[in-house]
Amino acid sequence: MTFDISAFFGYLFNDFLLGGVLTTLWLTVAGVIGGLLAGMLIAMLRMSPSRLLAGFARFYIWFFRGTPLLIQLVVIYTGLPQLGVKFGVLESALIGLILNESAYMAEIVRNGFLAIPEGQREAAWALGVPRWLIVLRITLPQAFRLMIAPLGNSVNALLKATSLASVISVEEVMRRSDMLMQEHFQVLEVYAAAAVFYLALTSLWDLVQRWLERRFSRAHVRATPEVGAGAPVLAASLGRVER
Amino acid sequence: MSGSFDTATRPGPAATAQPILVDILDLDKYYGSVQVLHGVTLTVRRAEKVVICGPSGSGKSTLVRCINGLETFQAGTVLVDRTDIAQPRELDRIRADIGMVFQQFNLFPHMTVLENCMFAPVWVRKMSRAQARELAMHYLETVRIPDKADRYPGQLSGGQQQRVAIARALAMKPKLMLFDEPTSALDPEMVKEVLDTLVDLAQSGMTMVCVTHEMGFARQVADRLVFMDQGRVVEAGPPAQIFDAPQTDRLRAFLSQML
Repeated sequence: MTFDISAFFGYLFNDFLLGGVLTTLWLTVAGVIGGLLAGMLIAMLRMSPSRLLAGFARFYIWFFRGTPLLIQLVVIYTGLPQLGVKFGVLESALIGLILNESAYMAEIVRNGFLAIPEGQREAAWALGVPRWLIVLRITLPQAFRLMIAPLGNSVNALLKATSLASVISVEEVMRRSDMLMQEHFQVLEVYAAAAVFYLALTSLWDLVQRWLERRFSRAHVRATPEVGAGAPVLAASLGRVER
Repeated sequence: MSGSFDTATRPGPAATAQPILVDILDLDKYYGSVQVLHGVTLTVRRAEKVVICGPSGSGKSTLVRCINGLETFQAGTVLVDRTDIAQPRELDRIRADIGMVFQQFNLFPHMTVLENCMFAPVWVRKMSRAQARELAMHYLETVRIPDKADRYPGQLSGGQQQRVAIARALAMKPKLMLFDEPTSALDPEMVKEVLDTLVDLAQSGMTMVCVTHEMGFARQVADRLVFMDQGRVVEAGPPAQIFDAPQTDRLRAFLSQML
């Protein structure tokens, strides 16, 4: 037995597998957006002065970060019907991914907000800016910049974690690779192609993340020294050195 | 080209004829079990310049922060333009009329200088963007920094940032300006440019309450100097009286360290 290169390339352009890639992609995108929105809500609850709400958020984060996604998916899809609650395959996958991801996102969002100096809120309060607007326009944009790096890790992890949905028969890349493997027994060729697809998707996300980082750090790029107010200071400091 | 501080009120010949703008009565403030303000009473009349000085930990910053409700207090009243600032419903409205400049500038780092100055006029005063831009540029010219309008705060020196912070507060056309040690975080060579701006502002007739260690500035602009120690107002009066005829040992000791 050898590695069949042409079979490998065949799988790279296999419509059936590429269809699975699309499913993986949209599961990830939906998981990220849903997880981020739910995570923001959980983070707000976690930071709220109400002990009940903060306690609920704390429990939520503890529970969904502390149990495997695999168990969450299986319980939602095959366990809950036992209690009379039924979800379809894709619904189950989305619910599981969003519940799990939002627990991580909540902590990322909270850390971002905690890093904003209190002076930012005070300056806005002193201008008479209402609280909701402070969150929307002052603290959130600044927190988001700090969230991008941990968010990047989380998205990367989620992208690969979607492969767990294959266990509840969601036909994403992993599941369809399994199906092809069982049909043709070209284990290395199929899974190598699947790995290439995941690499391509994570690389795509790297590009998006880099763009986000550039976009949100515009304000933090130091301008090149200019002729103007900076120049006399520079001249003064040079003068001091010469003397 | 250069703008001016056109405030609504010009300094009257007799400051006592002006109505009272800030009325602080018997203020008590605790941090936990530590009392930091002991029955502080202070009035500020329109167009008056009050400079508060005192050793660190004397409660002067806390007092100023009580005027716009950044600090809560346990007893006493603070009226600003006859409105009780302890009424939460009124707080945002009152704050919009009180400009505040902080030691650490607290500019919004993700907005340009111009956006910093336009933000509250647009969102709080509901001004059109064009109007707000014109207003913001006017005050940036007043603090002599219009050429930096499209820069971000992180690209400016400390002195420039503090002047932008002053312009940002003025763009709300406040009745009153509070300054909490506005030059304490600045490198020595930048203190003067900020103090010059404050002197210009004082001469325009703005009502000002300023916490500072800059005694030369205090002597130059203050109508009244308030000396605080350990959460109490120890002495208050015109600068000449405070500097040249201090009544208490504590003030004498403080002045001997400062001058």
